[in-house]
Amino acid sequence: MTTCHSPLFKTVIVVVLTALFGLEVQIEVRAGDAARFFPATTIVYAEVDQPAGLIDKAQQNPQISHLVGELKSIPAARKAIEGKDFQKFQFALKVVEAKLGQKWPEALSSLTHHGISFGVDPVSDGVAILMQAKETESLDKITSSLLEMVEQDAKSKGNDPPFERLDYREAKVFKADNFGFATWKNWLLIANKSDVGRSILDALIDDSQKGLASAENFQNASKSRTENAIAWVYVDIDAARAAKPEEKIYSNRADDPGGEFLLGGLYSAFHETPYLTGELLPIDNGLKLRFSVPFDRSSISEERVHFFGPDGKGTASTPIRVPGNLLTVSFYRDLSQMYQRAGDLFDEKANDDLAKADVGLSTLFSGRNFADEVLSGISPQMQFVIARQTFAEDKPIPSIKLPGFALVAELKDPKASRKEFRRNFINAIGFFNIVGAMNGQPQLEIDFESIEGGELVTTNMVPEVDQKPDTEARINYNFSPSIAFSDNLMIISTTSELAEAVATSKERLSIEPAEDSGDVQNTAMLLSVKELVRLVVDNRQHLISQNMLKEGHTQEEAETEIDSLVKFGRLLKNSRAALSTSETTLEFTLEVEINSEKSPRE
Amino acid sequence: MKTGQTNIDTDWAWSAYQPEQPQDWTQRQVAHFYRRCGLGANPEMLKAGLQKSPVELAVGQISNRQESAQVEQESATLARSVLATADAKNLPAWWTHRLLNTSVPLQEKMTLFWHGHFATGAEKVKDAQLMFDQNQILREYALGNFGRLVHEISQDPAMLLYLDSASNRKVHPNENFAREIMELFVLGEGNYSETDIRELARCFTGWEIRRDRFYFNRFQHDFDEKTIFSHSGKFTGEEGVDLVLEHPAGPEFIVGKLIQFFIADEGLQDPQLIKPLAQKFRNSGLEVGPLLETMLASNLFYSEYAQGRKIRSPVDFAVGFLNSLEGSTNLLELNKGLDEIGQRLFYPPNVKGWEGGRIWINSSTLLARTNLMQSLLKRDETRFGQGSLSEYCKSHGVTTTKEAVDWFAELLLAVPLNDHKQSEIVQRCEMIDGSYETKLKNLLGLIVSLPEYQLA
Amino acid sequence: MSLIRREFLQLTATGSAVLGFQQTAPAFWGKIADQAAGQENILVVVQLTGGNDGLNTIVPYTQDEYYKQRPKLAIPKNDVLKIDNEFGFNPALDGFSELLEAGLLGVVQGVGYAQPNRSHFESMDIWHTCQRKAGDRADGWLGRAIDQMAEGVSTETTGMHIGNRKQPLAVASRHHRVPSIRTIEQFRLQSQEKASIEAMRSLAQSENSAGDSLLNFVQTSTTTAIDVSQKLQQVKNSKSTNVIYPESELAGKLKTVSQLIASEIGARVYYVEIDGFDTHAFQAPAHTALLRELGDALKAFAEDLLEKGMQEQVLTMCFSEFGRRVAQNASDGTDHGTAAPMFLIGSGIETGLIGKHPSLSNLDNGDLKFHTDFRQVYATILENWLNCDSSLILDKQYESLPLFVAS
Repeated sequence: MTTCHSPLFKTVIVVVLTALFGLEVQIEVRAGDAARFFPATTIVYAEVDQPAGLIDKAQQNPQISHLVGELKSIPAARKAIEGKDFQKFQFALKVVEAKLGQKWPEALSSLTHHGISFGVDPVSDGVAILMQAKETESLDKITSSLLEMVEQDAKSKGNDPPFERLDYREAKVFKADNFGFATWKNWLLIANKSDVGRSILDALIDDSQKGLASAENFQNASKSRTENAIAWVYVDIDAARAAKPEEKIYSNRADDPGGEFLLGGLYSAFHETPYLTGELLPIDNGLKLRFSVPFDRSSISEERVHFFGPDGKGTASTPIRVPGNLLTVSFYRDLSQMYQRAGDLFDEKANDDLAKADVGLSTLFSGRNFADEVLSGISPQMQFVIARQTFAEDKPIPSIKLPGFALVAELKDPKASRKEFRRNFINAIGFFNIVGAMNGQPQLEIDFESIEGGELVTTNMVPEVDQKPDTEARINYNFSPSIAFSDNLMIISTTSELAEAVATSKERLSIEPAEDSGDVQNTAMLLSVKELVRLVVDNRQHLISQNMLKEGHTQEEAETEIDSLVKFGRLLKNSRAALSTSETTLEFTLEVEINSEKSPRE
Repeated sequence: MKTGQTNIDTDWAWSAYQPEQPQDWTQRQVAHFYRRCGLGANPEMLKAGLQKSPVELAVGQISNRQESAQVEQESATLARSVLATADAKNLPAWWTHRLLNTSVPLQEKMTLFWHGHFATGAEKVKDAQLMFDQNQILREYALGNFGRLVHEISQDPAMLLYLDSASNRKVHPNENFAREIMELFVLGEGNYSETDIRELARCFTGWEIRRDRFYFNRFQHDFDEKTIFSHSGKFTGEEGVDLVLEHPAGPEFIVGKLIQFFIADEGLQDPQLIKPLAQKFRNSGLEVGPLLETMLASNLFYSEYAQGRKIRSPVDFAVGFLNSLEGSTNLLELNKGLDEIGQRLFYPPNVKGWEGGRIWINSSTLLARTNLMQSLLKRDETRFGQGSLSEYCKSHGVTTTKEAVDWFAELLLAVPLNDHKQSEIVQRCEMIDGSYETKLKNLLGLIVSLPEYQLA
Repeated sequence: MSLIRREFLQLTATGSAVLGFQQTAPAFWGKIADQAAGQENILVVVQLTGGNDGLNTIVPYTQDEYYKQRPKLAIPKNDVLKIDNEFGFNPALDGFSELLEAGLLGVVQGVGYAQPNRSHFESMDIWHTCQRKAGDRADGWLGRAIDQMAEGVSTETTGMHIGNRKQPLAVASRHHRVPSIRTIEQFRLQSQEKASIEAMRSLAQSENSAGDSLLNFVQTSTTTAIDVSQKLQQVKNSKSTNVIYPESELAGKLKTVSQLIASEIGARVYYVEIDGFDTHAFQAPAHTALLRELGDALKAFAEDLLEKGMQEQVLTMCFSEFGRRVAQNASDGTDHGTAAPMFLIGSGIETGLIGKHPSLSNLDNGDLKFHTDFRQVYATILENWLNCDSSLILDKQYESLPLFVAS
């Protein structure tokens, strides 16, 4: 039998299984308030209000049911369903159902009828899951038949009974080596430590109104909860920070420029914020994941002005779109500020490294100080664009087709800096040619072109002397590094196609006016899954080869896996992510759209 | 190589091995054959091998030079992809894929031999395509004519680049290639003079590599008379190579190296043993096939002088392991491991190739060998017969740890394991908590960490 | 009794049970303890890649010419950490200054070679192989030393390169494998369960195999390897050192070296690199950072060796492929030059400045004139520290230098 190993397929299969054999019963909605049963010291708390209803709702959604149908037809999933393991699982399920006299989905549905909550309590080192079943009877029936099965199995193998039966107050407790569960009325509690188990049972039986629900942070956090959230999670950062102050995330320092550029603002937030909340929300055609922490925008520290802008109002421009656009990330980052604040932001090593880098960079920019004089000429709004490229047929076409990458920045004083950057670009190409020539690499030819409001400096890989038309050229032929200037924009790109596309696109780096709420988008990302899938299709053969070498798969297995990846990708459409701030919060959101076309095709 | 006298009867040594009794021809001996002449054998190959005689087994491998269509196609697809990256670093994984799937193991093993013999390193050559092309030449001539192979190699761009001989002007002949062809490729040290080298170098003047191809620049060639091994004439480069190939010391040098590669690391470099084969090699016009036919079906090959008398090279160690149990795994990681234990394919340490023998073994490589096996066994990608180890064992009727020790030992070890050690392994693995699969993997891990497993 | 031996004996008494080696432990510890008693000298080479600016490392703070040639780059007289009345360390080298005070540092001045080559690669190859371009560069000077030291014991790990870059030519050997160690984890058996390691060792015990057979050889090598690995873990886990290494890359490498030495793995030569000395522009901050990394790392290394009682066993040598020109260039940096100082750290060496500083006025085309051939330094170390025949390694007999305290 062929088994698939990649985590992707495991996830896919789990989704399929849950959807296919999940819950079909419609149940009335009721907000869970189980937080009052968890200890006040609980550090992570999550709840899914209506697992049954959720899946039901999902199944009613045409897009999601379409997705499930599609997933079932993916060869890997089909193989898994037809495979031995899955058959075994189904057999076991049948046995349980026979014992229960009830279909498993129904059983599961009644077990989680009033929702599931989950909590981690660092004080007792405890992890607990709490659920409230539809009625006591069904809960008892399910637990006893499952227990019976497990004990019979142990007996037949000559092992000791796995569970010790105890009574705690009015609850029945079943204890195994490293975890236990308990039932009381229609409640089912699963916990890894007796302490946390006892504490939750006490709260249940005494109908506590306090517990976590009375904690100040939790109360504040609950307020931000959206009505229609499917799932909600709360993390007590104050407590987490107190428990492990040495964790890097609380240190307020990224210590390296790359980390600071991407995450610097998060370090500011996590250094002080009391808690974090996350929720999963339904949106049109998809899902939205949102994480939020309280954040005081008015008191951003000096060294993070490069990240949030003056008064925290630094706004990322609207992501540029070009043909074949795969990914655009738009940032507000003041590089010059960051560079100058290096002493406060980075450790000694990173500072030393910067000092060393400064030598080379300043040499390139004819002795001008890189941080003070070069970087400061660039506006903080910058974008990173990736787009698929088209290949001209009269030129060597690389066997591995890479997208083009471009960095788009705004020059504060285009007149002065254009020349500087253009010269450096030409120098770099010259240097590349000299080094390339020594290593037998093809040479780059430089061309100049005027465009509206600016100019293009493009390069072209010179074909080798006896080069024949080639559709399997070396990876080098993906590159035609170019620089473009258009009005105050500067575009540095790995391909001339992308440089030109961005330079001549109608869309400029524009900043949408801040919403009334005062929300400011600091970082915005746009991903086209469609283009990503095309890129995978372009490189199918190469990915199959890589899969064979990396996974040790046979050719057939590798083909199946790559083709499934394509099929899976076609189920999704676009994805958006953003990091934004309001007067009082810092938020990260991620949206995924599901492809609603009936039969998504290339 | 240390030469020395042995007391072995030469006639006996090179006569074809004929088991006296049918029961003398055992699976263990077939396994020995494939460990040396291939890269390990799986249970099916062992069974099939038992049905043949030692001579049939050797002849079968030598006459079979056509890779199966499927392997050829897959290998070509992988090669295209690897070459498209233009990075020689990906070549080792490409080759190991072939080593793990080949239907002509002796041809691959000989390609490996010539790769070490005509050692050329991608570190310096850099160009993946050139390294690949050279590898294809080695494969084409692996079991063919040695003389042709030397001619091919002497104009091979990768080799000439590696030896800094991409240009060779008559005013200043480059002696590097002339020296290596005598010292390392054909004759061995001590069979030529410095004058011979200088004169041969003059023959090679005008040999250049231009745009990755061999090019003869007649304006740089020295057309005057040269004197090599007391022969005088206006020799060209090709004629120079022929003169080296005609030197009487050549066949003995190659036969000695092949004995070391195929039969024993130590103790068999006896001129008396080498001479008859060298004569045969010379008489056949330097055909490798007939030479190996004698060598690999001989009494000596199956004798106590040979069994367990070689230390596994890293490739034998890891690829042999996977092949014996129809294993597949992440080949990029596998090659990182091979590098760590001292054999990075396409990247030999220097122009002398891998010396082999005891050099493979020291504290750091032994620990790395054990760690490589542990990580192989732990890896999700590692499968046996495309499934789990326990499934694989079960499909061969092996269902207990006791049976598994016997079976693994028979498949993997060149030196029999005594009962005491076998039962110790079983005992220790039974003590381990975990599933049967975990126990089996632990057991296998212990077996391949045994000193016995380091021997081929 | 040396500290290290004492530690071993204590371990034998208490540690063996912990390790789960009850039966085999006494023999194993005993063996290593004996080796420790007859310690062999170890050489650690630190390569400063890129061409270190010798003049701003050892500063001739009394010479007007220095300040004249380097109006922007010169280290002010008052900042210099004085060595004597004429020379002082760059202030970033307080690590070296302390080593000097402790009597552990020697500075060999004006080291170079005739007809200097100013290409990084070419000059580095010359320092590595001691051969000019036309010569045979199949191996390096340390590779040849390794071949000589380990002749006959072909399988010992006599030299090691620490780092993840290409192995330097200096340690290329014809007959020995010199491993490149990226992390010390490479010496850890991945199988962490004590039981499996114990099983491996027990199963590797030689029995029924002739003393000179391959099997016996592999058996002995296997038990040795497992013992080394165990010892290394022991060294790594024990909090015997209070020395805190700086966070730098070089310090990390030297820490690894110290652990390897303490594990008695038996290597005689360790090789580490620190890159970035090619300071053509805005040299000052970069060079300061590099020298601080160098000085602090070596100070920590020396302290660590001292604490482990290994200081008498280890000599550290620092070199760079060339120095830099006397005059600064237009971008506040310096260009490729010639002669420069080398540094030796260890307890048996002649401390302070060794040899004269090259003249700043009598220049060769703007460059310092060397007066000590680097091969003299090599030869002295080979002869007096590694007990090698330097003439075989360096192709001829070089005049030795007074680098070591006469004993």
